[in-house]
Amino acid sequence: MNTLKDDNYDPRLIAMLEEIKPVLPRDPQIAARAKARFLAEAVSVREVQRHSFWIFFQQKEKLAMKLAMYALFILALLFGGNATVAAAQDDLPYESLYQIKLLSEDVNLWLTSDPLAQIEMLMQQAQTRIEEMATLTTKGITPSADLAFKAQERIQRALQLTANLEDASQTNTRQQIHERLQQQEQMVIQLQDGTCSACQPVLQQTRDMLRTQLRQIEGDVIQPEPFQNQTQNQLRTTQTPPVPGSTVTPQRVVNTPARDGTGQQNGSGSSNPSAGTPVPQHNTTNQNGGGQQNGDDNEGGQQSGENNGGGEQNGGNGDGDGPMPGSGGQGGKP
Amino acid sequence: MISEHVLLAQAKQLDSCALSEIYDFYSPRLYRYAMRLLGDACSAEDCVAETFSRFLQAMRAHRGPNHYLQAYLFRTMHNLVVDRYRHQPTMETMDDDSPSSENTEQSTDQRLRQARVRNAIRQLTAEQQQVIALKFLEGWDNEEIALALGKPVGAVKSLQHRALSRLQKTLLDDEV
Repeated sequence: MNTLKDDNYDPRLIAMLEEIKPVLPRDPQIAARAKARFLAEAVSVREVQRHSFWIFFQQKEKLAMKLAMYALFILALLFGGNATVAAAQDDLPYESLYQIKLLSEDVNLWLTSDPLAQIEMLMQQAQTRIEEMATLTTKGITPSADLAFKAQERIQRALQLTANLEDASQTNTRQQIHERLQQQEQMVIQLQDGTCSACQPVLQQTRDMLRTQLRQIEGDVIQPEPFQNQTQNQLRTTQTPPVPGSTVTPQRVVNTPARDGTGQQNGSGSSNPSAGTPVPQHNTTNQNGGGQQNGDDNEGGQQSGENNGGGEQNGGNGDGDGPMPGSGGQGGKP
Repeated sequence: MISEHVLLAQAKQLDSCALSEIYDFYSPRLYRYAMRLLGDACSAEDCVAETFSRFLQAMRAHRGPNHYLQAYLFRTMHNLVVDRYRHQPTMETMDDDSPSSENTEQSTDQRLRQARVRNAIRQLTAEQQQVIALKFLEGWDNEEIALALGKPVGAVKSLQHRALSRLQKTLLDDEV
């Protein structure tokens, strides 16, 4: 045993430290209780450890099961992916593989780099949405407005891509899109035969949407220059789905010459709603070849049209807030 | 007693027999150690219980000692003693209310002297306290202390030298 004496320290220091060395004997009862507590705690810890081991084992089992599921899913994707995607192509929105169908369309689009091919693909996808609506309507199921929105979104993207094409190919592509839209509109018109009354609002909405796109393209055929700007602006501002039942109208005024041969079309009106002369409401479908029509475009969207033999047509103004500029001009047709 | 390695291996499995044997062998020594430094039976019992509780938790978490159980237990005990030092008043004031005052056989003078030595030890650093307690109160050699502190033997000697010098200054120079 080491002591202070070995290091030649002061013996008084040794004596002082020796003072605290003696310790009274420990109370045996307290010691026994302390030992019992310690052993009981050991048993408790062992139980907790065993329990936690079982939980860990269960978690490991769950983890293994999850891993197996993921592995199966990946294998299914690798080996059965093509079959699944192929099987999904005929699925309708309420069917299980429909999301895979949409996903595969997006993937195909993403993998395509050629703008012309992308446009073709987008228009085909829009056509598919319309066909899905037709299938659902035929089955008596009301199609979701989401289908119309998806179709519109595809068409808008196709138009946007078209706007970026060179002039030569742009004209051809627009023509093709126009034909496609006409086919789609005809399809929707045929569906509006009254067999599915509940489907009418959605079909009407789809038809309005298609008509809007058609008008846009028709206007652009005449004035191709603003087409690019307009398409891009429209894409930025009109990404929301059309409200069911609302009438979608062209958003741009195209000044076209009067088509009655004698009439005069005035597209330079004032933005003041009261600028035009209010005319008592006559039959706006007056087919008098020499009609005069005031197509004032005021805030309330009021139209006052009168066609007479004068053939003068005020085709409203392009600055007004009304949604139907110059629409009364139709009455001037012979 | 079977070898410490075997005992530790069994203790890691939370074997009751091994734990019981460890407790029987070390708890009196740990109690004595705490008593010498704290001078209070209750506090010493608390420290012993806490030391073994921490030992169990370490075994459960697989963080316990692999070789030197004695060093591990005394290091844990000393940390608890130092904690008590930090949170308890000095010995002189504590002694009045402590259960150890029940021992009427000890003279008041002797208790005061003991308290004075303990207070002098309290003024040392934690490592110096541990070296003094293990070497001069428990009788360990420098190698064992080095294992308990996780320091080389030379460092232990240095700690011992500084601790004794300071104790001498505190206890003896004041008397002069």
